[in-house]
Amino acid sequence: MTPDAPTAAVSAPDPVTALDQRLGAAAAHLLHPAPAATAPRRPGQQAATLLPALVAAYQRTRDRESLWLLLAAVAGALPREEDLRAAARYLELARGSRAEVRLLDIAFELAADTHESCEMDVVTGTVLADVDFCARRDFHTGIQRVVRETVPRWEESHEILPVAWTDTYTCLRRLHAWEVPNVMAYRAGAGTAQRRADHGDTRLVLPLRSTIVLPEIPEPEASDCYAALSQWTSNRVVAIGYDMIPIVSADLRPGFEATRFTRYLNAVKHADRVAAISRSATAEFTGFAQALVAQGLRGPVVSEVFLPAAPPDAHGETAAPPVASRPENARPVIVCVGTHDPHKNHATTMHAAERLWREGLDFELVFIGGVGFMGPDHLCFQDAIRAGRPVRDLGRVSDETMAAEIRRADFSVFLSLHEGYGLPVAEALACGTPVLTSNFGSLQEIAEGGGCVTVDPRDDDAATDAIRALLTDRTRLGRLRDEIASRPARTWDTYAEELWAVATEGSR
Amino acid sequence: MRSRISPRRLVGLGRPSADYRRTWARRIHDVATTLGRTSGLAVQGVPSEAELERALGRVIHLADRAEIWLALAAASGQLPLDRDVVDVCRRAEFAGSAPLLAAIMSSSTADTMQREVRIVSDGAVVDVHHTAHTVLATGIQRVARETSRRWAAEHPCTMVAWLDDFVAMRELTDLEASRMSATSGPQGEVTSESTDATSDSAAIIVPWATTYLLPELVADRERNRRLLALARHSPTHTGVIGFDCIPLTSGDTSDSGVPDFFADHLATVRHFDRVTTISRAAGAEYGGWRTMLGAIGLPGPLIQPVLLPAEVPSSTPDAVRRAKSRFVVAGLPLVLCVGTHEPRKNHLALLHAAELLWQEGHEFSLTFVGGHSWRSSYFQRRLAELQAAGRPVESASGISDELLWAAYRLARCSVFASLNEGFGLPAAESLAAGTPVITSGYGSMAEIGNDGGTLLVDPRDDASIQDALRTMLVDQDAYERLRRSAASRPRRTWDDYARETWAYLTSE
Repeated sequence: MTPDAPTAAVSAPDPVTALDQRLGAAAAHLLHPAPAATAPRRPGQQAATLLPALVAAYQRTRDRESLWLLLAAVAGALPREEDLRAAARYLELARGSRAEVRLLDIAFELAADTHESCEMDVVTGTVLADVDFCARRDFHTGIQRVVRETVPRWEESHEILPVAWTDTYTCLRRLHAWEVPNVMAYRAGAGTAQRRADHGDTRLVLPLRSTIVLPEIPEPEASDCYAALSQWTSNRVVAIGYDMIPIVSADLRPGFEATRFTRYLNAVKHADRVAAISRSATAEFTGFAQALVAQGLRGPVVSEVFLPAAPPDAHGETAAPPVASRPENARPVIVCVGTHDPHKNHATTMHAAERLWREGLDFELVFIGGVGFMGPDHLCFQDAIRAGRPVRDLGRVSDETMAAEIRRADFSVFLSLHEGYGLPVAEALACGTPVLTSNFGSLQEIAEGGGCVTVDPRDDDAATDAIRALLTDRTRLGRLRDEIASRPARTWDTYAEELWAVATEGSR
Repeated sequence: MRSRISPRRLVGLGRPSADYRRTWARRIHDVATTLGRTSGLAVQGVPSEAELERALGRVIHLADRAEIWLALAAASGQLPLDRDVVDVCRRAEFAGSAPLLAAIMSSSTADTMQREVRIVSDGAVVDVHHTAHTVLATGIQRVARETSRRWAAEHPCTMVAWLDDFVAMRELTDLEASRMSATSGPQGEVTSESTDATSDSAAIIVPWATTYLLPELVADRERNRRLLALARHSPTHTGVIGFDCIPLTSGDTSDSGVPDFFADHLATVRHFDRVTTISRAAGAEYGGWRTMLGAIGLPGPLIQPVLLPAEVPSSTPDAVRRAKSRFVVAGLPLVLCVGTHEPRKNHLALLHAAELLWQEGHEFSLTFVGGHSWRSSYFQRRLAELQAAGRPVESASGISDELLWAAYRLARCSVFASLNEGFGLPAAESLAAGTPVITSGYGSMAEIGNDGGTLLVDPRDDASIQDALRTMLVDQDAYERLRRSAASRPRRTWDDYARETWAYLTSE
């Protein structure tokens, strides 16, 4: 069957046959000696034989990982902490068929939301990458870019198993055929066109003694399962840490993001490692880990793997930034890239610009970025446009247009109050354009490589002085361009290898 | 998109009445007096808008965000938001005091105009909004009530609540003031949430260059946002009691929405001068959060733990008699577990440990005291199963403090093996009553346990709780030693706590 061929609905295995298979797969790891493979028999016969043996085997050892695998195999779903605690308690008290009934009760509730009965594979000693969001969606900003630059590079040089979640977010599964290019060979607009409702069998994946890398923010239900997996199994969980804006800068956000984000933090809390993308993210995840001592937990080991930067139009290849060729005495252009959300602090740039126009300086200010959650009534440039100032708002544009505008600009201003990384700064530098940015966190960190000026973004006077200096001192701008040319190159290849080393450090 | 026009904004859109102009004139006069300046407005006159604008220009240093904050707050009666202060200040650079007057007029409402506005610069302003609205006896309200009334008895203080729409602080009504001095009601019972009609005329309080103390958690986005601007822009010294960061660090055990307002609260506290946490463990949580602030280039507040006290007044013979007939099963030692039934309190582990001990043949009764709460259905179900099996276990709620304190004294021991606590009041109260406690071996519970009378356990290990409870029940020598060391613990009182927190929070 090819992914494109119109197919009849695939006949999923009936629930009892799937249960036979899953218990067989679990038994291969839990029963010693493993039961010999036998010819297919009546549906349910294998399960009826294996369930008592598996329950009895667990009750002899009380091994936590065995319980996790047993419960997952019976339910076809990954258990949460409360499921595992309930199962362990009932199996400590009950014996024989009463114990089996208790286990089935819990598994039945656990599987209540699933609407497919699936077979499963137990994988051991494997590195898995949870790429659920990228696999399902044709959406490509910050996090998805990291996934699609990193995971395909791992596949070339290492063994990697990309996984997603079932539609109910109850179990890990292999990718469907149509999803693979969405992760491994992404082209905008290409992936979802091939989506089929009848995507073939869903095969569940249960990792043991493996490493699971979370390069995305998992769904809340999946986070609960990861928290339990980390505590009950010998798997290692390694998360990429992006930022904690919903927690640290909630005042600048819409007010409903923390509830969802703290579900993710439950997975982080029990993870082995966090590879933070910058100095900012390292501070945030380190602080979170420090706070966990109050509940007797060590928290993840946090280390930094700094993101690389490429021009917005590079699409993976590293393109040499073309030299901007503009007439020497043309009106200077300042570009300001980023959504008009409050934490991007564009209003400070706008105010400094208004001061400088009133001083008599002549320059154009170009905004690139979406409207943001505050809506179109709060765009900081509206008064200036009404007053006839040389302001252009391009809104959201293609990567190519953005790169062209950044290359055309004399410099970029990005005075954000909170960034996990600060892609607009890195991208401007990759385009060869100097940047004025904030003097802390990841923005300061990127600036330290050269080609940037940093100021306190909460200080209007400092921002104004810095912009004035860049507008009036052409030699300074030239020096900054020279600095950019000699910035140490950091590529996606380097990032992918460093992340792999952190992810697999100390694993079997 | 046009702005929505609500009745309360009409003040700013139509021509303001003579009454309103007279009120603004009076208030601007008060601001001038506070700043040691003169407004130049005739005391009894009705000024024109132009005269008001000129007066503001004379009184307020328009480049000073603190003075802009004061003018907005005291003249409109509404505490400004962060972005209002910044925006008015920026506009004033180009347009003088006109934008300030416009902002004052548009944020004046019928409610804020009919009240007196009092600028408080002498003595501390103590914000007890939530505490003054309930007679709830548990947790935060108890701390806020016991502490603030002692502060107010020893030092000049103005206690405040907020207007119903959380745009400003106001003085307490007589009913609210009496609630602040009343003794607490039954555990977990809200006897009255209603506000009294006199709150409609209560004067608005604007703290200026004084001390603002917050002994409770702010659970409203609007109130948090206005406090943030006060802490950030006004010269008032700000201090807050930090209870815990559980909505952030154990978000999985928080009800939906709780992490959202808690993140708002943290954003506000970011700009405070001092936090006193109720335990070293809570201090570690706040310390971890302060580490996160490195990502946004802010230092955050100073943090100092001051351990909460636990006072258990002596019980009358009558109270003991009533508690005995209510709780004690004839001839059986009583094991007491106090706390709401949310999963974080870990009651299911105690139920399991108790069942194992009953199966071993030990005889004792188990009583849970505390209200139902979020996700307590697992607990209810297991409790019902054990009751159906004839075990002497029960759950009681709506128990008065008097009866609870007697119950502590009657109990063989208490169990409080919570997964995460800012303090662990039930453990401390049991020990104050002289009754040994089984509690968690980390965080605030271990801090309480350090002074003796405690068996520390791993709350994630049922067997650890089971072993400790067995020791309490059967090892008479060990039990007597624990009773003696519980009795000889140093006494710590609310007076101690109020004195130490006042000294720390009010230091510059």
